[in-house]
Amino acid sequence: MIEVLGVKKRYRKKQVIEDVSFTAQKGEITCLIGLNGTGKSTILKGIMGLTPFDQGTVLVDGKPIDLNRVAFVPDHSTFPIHFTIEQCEAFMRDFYPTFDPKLFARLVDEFKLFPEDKLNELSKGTLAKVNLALGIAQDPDYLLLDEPFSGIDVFSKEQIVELFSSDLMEDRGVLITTHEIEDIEYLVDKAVMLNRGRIAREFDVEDVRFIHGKSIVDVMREEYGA
Amino acid sequence: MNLLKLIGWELDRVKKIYGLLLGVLITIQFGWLAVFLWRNTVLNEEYRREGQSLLVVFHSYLMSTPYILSIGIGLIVMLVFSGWIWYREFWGRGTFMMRLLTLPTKRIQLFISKFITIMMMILGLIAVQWFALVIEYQIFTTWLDGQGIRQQDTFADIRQLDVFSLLYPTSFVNFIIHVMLIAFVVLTIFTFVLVERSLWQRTIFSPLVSIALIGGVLAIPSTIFYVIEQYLFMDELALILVIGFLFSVATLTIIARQYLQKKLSV
Repeated sequence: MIEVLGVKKRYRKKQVIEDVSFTAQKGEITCLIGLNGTGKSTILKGIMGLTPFDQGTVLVDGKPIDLNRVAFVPDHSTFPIHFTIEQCEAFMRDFYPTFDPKLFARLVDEFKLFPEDKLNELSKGTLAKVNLALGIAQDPDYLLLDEPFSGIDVFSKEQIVELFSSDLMEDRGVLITTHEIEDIEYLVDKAVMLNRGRIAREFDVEDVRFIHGKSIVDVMREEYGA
Repeated sequence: MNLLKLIGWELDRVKKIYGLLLGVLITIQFGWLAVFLWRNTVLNEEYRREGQSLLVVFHSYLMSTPYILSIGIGLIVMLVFSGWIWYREFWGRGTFMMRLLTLPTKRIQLFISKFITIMMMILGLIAVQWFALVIEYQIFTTWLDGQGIRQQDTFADIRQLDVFSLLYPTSFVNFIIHVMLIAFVVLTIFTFVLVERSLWQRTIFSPLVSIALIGGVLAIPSTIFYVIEQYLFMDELALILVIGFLFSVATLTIIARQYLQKKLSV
């Protein structure tokens, strides 16, 4: 379980995250929801130590984060753009002891990627698939996905969504931020709704659907008054 | 193990630009040597016709503008690269720094790998320059002997020049001191970059804040030394210098480590 406990982050005079606490369970998909600028990406980056929190703690299964067990997939490539996909893979193989080349080969095959392609020649959708393939091939217990559907075409989106319900994601905890909630709503187990740097609501998506007959978007509409 | 991989990775990334730098330096120096020797050969012919003889010294070649320029290029490129080796990781939106900081390895290993890479590049450059000097001197003497032109200085005289006495000190202890000073400069640049990159919402003032912090650290031992200098004997001054140097190195290392571990923001 990822535990985010009382984290705070201030940028200059603006308190972007104010005392946020939540958990993301292994084997579940937890979705961080919020309008633009509510601090979703900052929380993911904070968990990974890329934008350190001013206060608060992050624990993964009760211990400080182990980067062998948690993978972060941002909405852009983190490799130099002149790299080919196979160069990215070589780097991952070299530096991540848990990286599984067979798993990566399977994902390359499923996503119909060409290893000799350079990152700067890829469309945004293909780049998103490469990022995801590299992240999953790390074989992490937890996967942090920042806007994986941002700006990508409908077919790439479908392929990625299919992946979430495949055996490749079994037993992994997924913490995801997205604006395309409709596309993954039926896959999400838990939603954490942020508003102005605070947690506005935290709910079991299935409960809300069956008990109150509401979708995530309905709850968002109530919360944000949209 | 990861440290060695990181060093290998860094060296692999710099090999092209480093090769280019060496190529440019060698081309400038040997190209200029050819021009220098040709000019003196022509001049010697003119002297001979007038019944005089020409005396050529190797120092004239080493102190000429193109040669000094080549040394200056090497120095400036290495200084710039000491900062660039960090800054390039923050380049563009898809920053590679994000990948490096999420590697399952201690962040200090990133620092050490970049530090070792820069030191290897600098010492490699100094070594290549030494071999180039030896070959240049050989070409110089062989050509002038062949043309019957008089020459004066020996290879050992080269070290009398300021720039070469710094690069190639005569004792091993001096060599170690010079390497430590080079390492100190690299450490200072690294610390500057890490502090500057850690200031969130980076503005035009970020470099100034970083310079102020590092300047403050370096000013403490310098000021103490300046104040008490006149009351101390030579060996006491040397001791104070060593203590001040160690203080600066330790403080800069602590700051760099702290910012890399706890404050660096991508």
